[in-house]
Amino acid sequence: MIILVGGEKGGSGKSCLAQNIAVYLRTEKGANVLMVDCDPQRTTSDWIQERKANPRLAEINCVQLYGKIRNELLNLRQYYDYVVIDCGGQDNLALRSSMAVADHILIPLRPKRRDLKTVPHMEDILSTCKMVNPKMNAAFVVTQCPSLPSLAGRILEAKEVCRSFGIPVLNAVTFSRNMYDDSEESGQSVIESEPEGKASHEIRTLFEELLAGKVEDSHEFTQPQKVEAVS
Amino acid sequence: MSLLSLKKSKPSAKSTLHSVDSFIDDAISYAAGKGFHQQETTLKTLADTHRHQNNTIEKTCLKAVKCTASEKHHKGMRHATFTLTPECITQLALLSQDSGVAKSAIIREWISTEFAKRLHTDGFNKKK
Repeated sequence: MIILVGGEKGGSGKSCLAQNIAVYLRTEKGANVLMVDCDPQRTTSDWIQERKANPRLAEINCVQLYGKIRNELLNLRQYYDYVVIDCGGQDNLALRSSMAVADHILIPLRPKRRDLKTVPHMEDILSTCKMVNPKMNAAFVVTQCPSLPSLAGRILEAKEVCRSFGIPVLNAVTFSRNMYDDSEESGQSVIESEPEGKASHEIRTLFEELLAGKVEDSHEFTQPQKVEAVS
Repeated sequence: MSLLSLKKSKPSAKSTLHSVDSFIDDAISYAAGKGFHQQETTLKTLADTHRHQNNTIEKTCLKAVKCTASEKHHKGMRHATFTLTPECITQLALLSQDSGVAKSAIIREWISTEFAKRLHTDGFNKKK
């Protein structure tokens, strides 16, 4: 199964999500996981190096692939239970190649105006991609949410904006927590640093929700859902 | 300020797609700051501006641009020869005539569709 964590917006937490999902699958599902780092910044590759230096951590392999990587991904898929792709924050050949073969696509966005402005272009790409990859399951996830109750409305608004483009949005969100940053620093994931912590729970919930997403063999996304107005 | 002003306000343009490769290659034109359709529009707008000044030169330029675009379009392709029955040849010609799409383009589109279908059903490798 190919899981792509990608999108056009930089800094939305793609690498962080991809890494945590990979560890979740490796440690809690006992799966054979390969990470594919398509980001020239090498965030995930460097993180894997950190992990390898710590023998207590479950081993996860990583390869760097750039450009038109569709055939490479199809080939790798045969040898692993899950191929988790971390694709850098821009619309490029690697992102589109991955989208064309991915089973699940997770697009993180912060509840910020600049992030949400990338949604129309993502809708364009996803709509076109549906024609070549009709079985893909794509969803937005709102990340790095502020935990202040007074700002909860912004999270709901961000979800509503995404839904208005007819692309599913996960109910699960991730909050802005130091744990994500701290665990990454030592080559760990939040699941290893604090297995019963809130961040671990967020990762499990959002990934299970993504997998449970109804994959319709359709060449188009369904019409936008009607949602209640946010006061 | 509410984020709701970013909700979808106009209908999406109908997506058109010829193949998986064209979907992937569109990233290059996007990275260059323009889609293929956008590029065409920009060129036409420029041509309109110059039309009043020098109609002849503008027409020549447009032709040149179209030729270059056409050459680019064929750059990644190779000639291939297949054996078809006379019936197939006639049917393909009729399809092309009726749809206004080139015969080779019809074949490419069919291959792309079948390939995508196969990928998501049985896969190629399992069948070996």
